[in-house]
Amino acid sequence: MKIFNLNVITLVTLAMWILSSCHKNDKKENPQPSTDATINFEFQAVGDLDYETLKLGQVYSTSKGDSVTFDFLNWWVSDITFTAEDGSEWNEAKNYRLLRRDDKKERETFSVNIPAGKYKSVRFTVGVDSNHNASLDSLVGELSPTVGMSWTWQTGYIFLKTEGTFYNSDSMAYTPFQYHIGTNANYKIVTIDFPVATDVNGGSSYELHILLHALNLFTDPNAMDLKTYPYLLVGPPAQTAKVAENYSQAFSLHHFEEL
Amino acid sequence: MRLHGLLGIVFCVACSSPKTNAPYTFPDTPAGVVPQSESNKATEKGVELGKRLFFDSQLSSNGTVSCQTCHHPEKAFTDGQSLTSMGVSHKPLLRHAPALFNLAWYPGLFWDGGSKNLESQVFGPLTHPDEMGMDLTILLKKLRADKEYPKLFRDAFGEDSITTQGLARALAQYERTLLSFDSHYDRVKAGKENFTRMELEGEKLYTQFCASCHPAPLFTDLSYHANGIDSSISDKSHELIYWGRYRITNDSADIGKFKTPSLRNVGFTAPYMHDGRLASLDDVLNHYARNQAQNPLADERLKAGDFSAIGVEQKKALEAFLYALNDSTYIGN
Repeated sequence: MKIFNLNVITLVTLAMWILSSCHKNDKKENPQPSTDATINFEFQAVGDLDYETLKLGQVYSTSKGDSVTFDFLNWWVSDITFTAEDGSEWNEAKNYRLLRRDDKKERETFSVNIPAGKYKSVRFTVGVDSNHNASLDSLVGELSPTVGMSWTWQTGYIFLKTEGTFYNSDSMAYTPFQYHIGTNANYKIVTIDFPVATDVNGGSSYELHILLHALNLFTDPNAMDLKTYPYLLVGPPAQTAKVAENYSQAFSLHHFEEL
Repeated sequence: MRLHGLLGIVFCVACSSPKTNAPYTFPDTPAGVVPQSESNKATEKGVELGKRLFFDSQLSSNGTVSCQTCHHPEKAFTDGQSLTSMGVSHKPLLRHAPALFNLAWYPGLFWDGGSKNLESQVFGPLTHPDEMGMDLTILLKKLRADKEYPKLFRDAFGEDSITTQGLARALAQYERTLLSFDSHYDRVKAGKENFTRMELEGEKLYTQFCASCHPAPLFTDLSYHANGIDSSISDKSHELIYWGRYRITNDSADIGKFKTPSLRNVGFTAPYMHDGRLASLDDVLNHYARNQAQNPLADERLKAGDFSAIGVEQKKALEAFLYALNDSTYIGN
């Protein structure tokens, strides 16, 4: 009888141990290794001035002579990669961030932790890679059919979406434009070179401020014909390819420095 | 010995989930194994949940429209209308509600194949302002506040699964179980029943005139063809919806091409064509009997004109064969 009691106690203890060991959300203390540095990204859409956030509803003149206004400008950023002076690379694990300039967001900030090193450039993609662009049920990062950045009649994400008005010389009035650009062909890699290779020290924080020159969507290297093609919704592909080439060249470094 | 047994029980209780969710067992089909999504294999609970969602009008903005509103099981999941106005806005749609069966084999959904899989397709009718008109964020809130759905989602997909992902995956799982392979034709091929002389004659005509785009056992080639119902298309509205497959591929060779519908259940699925413009099977056969030689939007196979010589008796025989593709079990009769 005594032995049986002991066994029961042992069993109960064992059972409790097993039960507790089966908790899936067992959080292990895993502090960031001190060799990592924190990079605080800041993405800012700008108009004609590098120090001023793109103003919604304000008339801007493009270098090709168009007058445009913006209602909003949203785009996906993914696959952030830092390249060190020696050519080695650090890639962020799969993540998709939706960046917005709209009536709620002035600019977008987020941070990533990267190993200490001497870095010469950062690279990211505008859009969603073909793998994750093939289905709307794979929810990684902010990917979701709820954020207004996907098509349902043609499966896929809208990589960059902007709407506004332009001065239409035919009607002599401001008329709407809509650019909803996506499809795998328009997935673009953007590389931003730092002026000099920059030492990034473990335990320190850095600010990496990147500008998106919104007016460049209409101008370089491709002058867009807003009057003929005010609505680029998925296609036509020859036109959306031009916008995609323009956004791939619309980013520049404002500054990258230790905080 | 007793201790070991008890320990075993403790292990079972501790580490297996209380409700088991077994993989869904698909039957063998004449078309082979039912294809599945690698990331969304069907389970008993997933299919059950998907079926419940399919018939639930809570999924629409005003609570009156479910998937079933335009996909009636007794009509092989179509609605008997050319262009329905049963959506939340009561505006007529621009395309005919397709029948739903054997969907797992299609590489593209919708009449132009623009949707790449069932998991992505569900968001189309759910959010379209003239169909279910639902805001997905509101829908998720609704489902999370429901008395039963939280448990059903948990049983099917685990914790915190009331997401657009769980929603889409459950509906897709259910849709893959919609299999129709029990027609008179299938029973004849299985050696259980016999064709009438007329059906036999009709099968020959089918093989000669229809099978190249509608091959057995699915009775569709799962591809896209221009069948000559239009000879020109100029309306560019609605993101080129009238242009067929072209709006997806931007390849001018795809202008006016639409997905080949299956001939199975053809007796239950009138009216016909992507916009439901042909009311009867007779109209369809008369359409194919027309001379298409000069039509730029007709597939080459329709240009030989052989079918135009078909006689009245032959037409009856062909119809008899086509009606042998009706699956009464599938529509619940």
